Formats: sequence, structure tokens, C-alpha cells
Amino acid sequence: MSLCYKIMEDLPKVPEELVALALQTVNYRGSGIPNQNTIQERILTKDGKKYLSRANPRYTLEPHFNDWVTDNISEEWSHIGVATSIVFEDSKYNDGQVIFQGPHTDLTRSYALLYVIDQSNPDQYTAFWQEPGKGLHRKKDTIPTELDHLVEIDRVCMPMNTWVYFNTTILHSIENVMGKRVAIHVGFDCDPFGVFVRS
Amino acid sequence: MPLCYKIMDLPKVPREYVDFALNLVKEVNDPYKNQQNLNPQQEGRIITKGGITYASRTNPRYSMENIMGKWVNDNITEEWSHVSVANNIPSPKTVGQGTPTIHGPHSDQTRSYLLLYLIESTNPDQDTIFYQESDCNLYRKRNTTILDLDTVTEIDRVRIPLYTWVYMNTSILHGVENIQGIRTALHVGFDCDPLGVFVK
Repeated sequence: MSLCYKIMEDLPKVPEELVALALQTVNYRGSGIPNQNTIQERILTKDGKKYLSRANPRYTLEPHFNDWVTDNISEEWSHIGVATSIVFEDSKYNDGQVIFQGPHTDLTRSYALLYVIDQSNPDQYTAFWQEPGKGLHRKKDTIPTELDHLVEIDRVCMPMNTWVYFNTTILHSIENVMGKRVAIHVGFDCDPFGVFVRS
Repeated sequence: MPLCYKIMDLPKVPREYVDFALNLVKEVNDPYKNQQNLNPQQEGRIITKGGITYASRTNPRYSMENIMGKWVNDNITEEWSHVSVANNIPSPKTVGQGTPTIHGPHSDQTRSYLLLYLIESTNPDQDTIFYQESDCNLYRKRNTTILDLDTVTEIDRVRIPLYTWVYMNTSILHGVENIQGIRTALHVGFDCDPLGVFVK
């Protein structure tokens, strides 16, 4: 089976002051900090019902955060940021709280390291999917809107404060997000697996 | 050993698309004015190897998506990020500054993986060489360039045959040597690794 994800226990923890900085960045997101990735409203059909997917805007961190990643993880990153899971309010498709971000491939990277730093519930999980008749690895920004025919191939409940590698060209979704989910993201265009400079 | 390249058993490109691509690059008298170059980086690099100075070649690339995108979808895969023809030429910015037979080591700017289909070359002994830089990772971020070839170690090489699809991991440093004149190739670029997912 293809490697969808790997929990990278051996990679160094992010220093507490940098985690605090990332949380502060997310808390200030309403004050004009531009997000790195395009956020679009995605209407999905699941179990015959329409939903408006959660989204995951990502914000740039201070340069010294980038320096820490370069020194302690890898220098081959393409972007570093902190992302927070949100719902689009006042949508006719949101019958109560939407608790998932639908399956997609990422727009801005092919691989990522994630480091969850805040979450409302510990049983949030990332699911990986394959669309019947299609390759496992998909081009950037592939977004199926009909979900019932997708086949789940793997899932991981990402532990807090632990780096998790995953291949973002495999369709993936975030499930069971009951409220908050904040994570540091390090994106790569080249596969960083096995090449982290200090692991 | 990591997979730098693989010669693929994929369908030959119909002659009409090959001819279109060859005509396209021949009609481009000034590739920087008459067509949109999809690969504007990696120009004007002076490189050294064994104490000799070379003017690194450059590889302007022009879209073929409207011409053969559907054929690629139907016969190779639909997961590509671009389909184009690349025409390897001496860089106009370094004329006279060194021997222009090498396209120096680099990782690609616009893709992580590539299917390359060579459609014209002046000499069959052009070699694609893969490198690793001392004390650096094998896979490099995009648009990493090397100016001193004596700082890199060759890890693999391939003499790409005409009219044959060749898979390459373009995040591994790679260059082409011994280009005595023409080197023109169709390129299908990918952000996701296409190896093993080709539809036919």
C-alpha cells in the first residue's frame, strides 16, 4: 500500500514559544493577515445530503519560525504556516455544525508535515480516499463533490504536538472536527520523506 | 538506490503532434518574444566543471496543451500539470562566456516529476545525469541550481532514446551534457508522482 502518512515521532518538538506564536497568529487572523491558500466554498454531496465543507485558511509565520524549521527539520520546504479549520456561516447547506472538510488534494504542495497544536476534540481524524477508476495520486486541487463513491483507504488520528508526514496528492479529508483544529504546516514540492536533516 | 528515471512502456506519440511540436519550435525565431516561455528561469548561468567554464544552456518550453492534452488524457494519464514542448538552446544571456554544451544541474521550477519524450537531437550521445550535492538531501526544493559541478556527485545517468517516454524525478538535481546542437522534447509535468498510475 502507498504511504499515505507517517507519524514522525523522532522529529523535534516545536518550542513552546513558537507554538504560542502560531496560536497568536491564528487568533489575530481577523486583523488583516492574508492567508497563503485560496479558500473556496465547496458544496459536497454525502449520503444524499448537501454540505458546505469546512475550510482551512493558512497564515504565514514569523521569519524566525522558518529558521527553526530550516535548522531542525529540513531546508527544502516550500512554505510554512499555521492553519485553522473554519466553517462558513449562514449557509443554507449547513444544517447545524459541519464537522468535516471534504476530500481534496492540496493546491499549494505535494507533501506536508503537520503539527496539531490545538483541537476541540481528540478524536478528529484524517481520512485518505481513492476514487474508483482513478490513480491514487491526483493533480493539485482535485476536489470530488460526490463523496459516496469514494473508497476510504486509510485514516489517522493525528496526535497533538507531533509531526505527521502526509502525501497531499492522495485525496484526504478531515473528519469529526467538532470545533477547533489548529496545526502548523510545512509544505514541500519534493518528497521530504527520509530526507529530514535531523530526525 | 532512489529511482531517478525509468524508461516507460507507454504509447508512442502520433506523428502529427510530433510534427506540430517541431514546427512550433522552428517557427520561434526569438523564443523570448514570439511565444510564451513557460520556463523562464535557469537562464544566464555560468558553470564550472573541472576548472573549465561552461555557459549553461536553457530550455524554453511552449504549451502543447490545446494540441495534445486530450491525447495525453486518453493514452497516458489525466493527472498532469502541463503538456509542452521544450527546445534546449544556448542561453542568449551567456553567449561567448563558455562552451554551451551543458545544461547545468538543477531541480525543476514548475514540476516535481516529468515524462519526457525526445523528438529531435543532433547527436544521440547526449546524457542526462543525476547528482547529489555534498551534505545535502537528494530531493531538493524547486529551482535549486548548482554552479560548480565539482561540488556534486553523479548518482545515475541515462541516454534518453528518441520517441520513448522516460519518467524522471525532477526534484533530484539533474543536467544534460554533450548537447552538440538540437535537443527538443515533449514534456508532461506532474506535481504528484505519476509512476504506477498511468491509465494505460
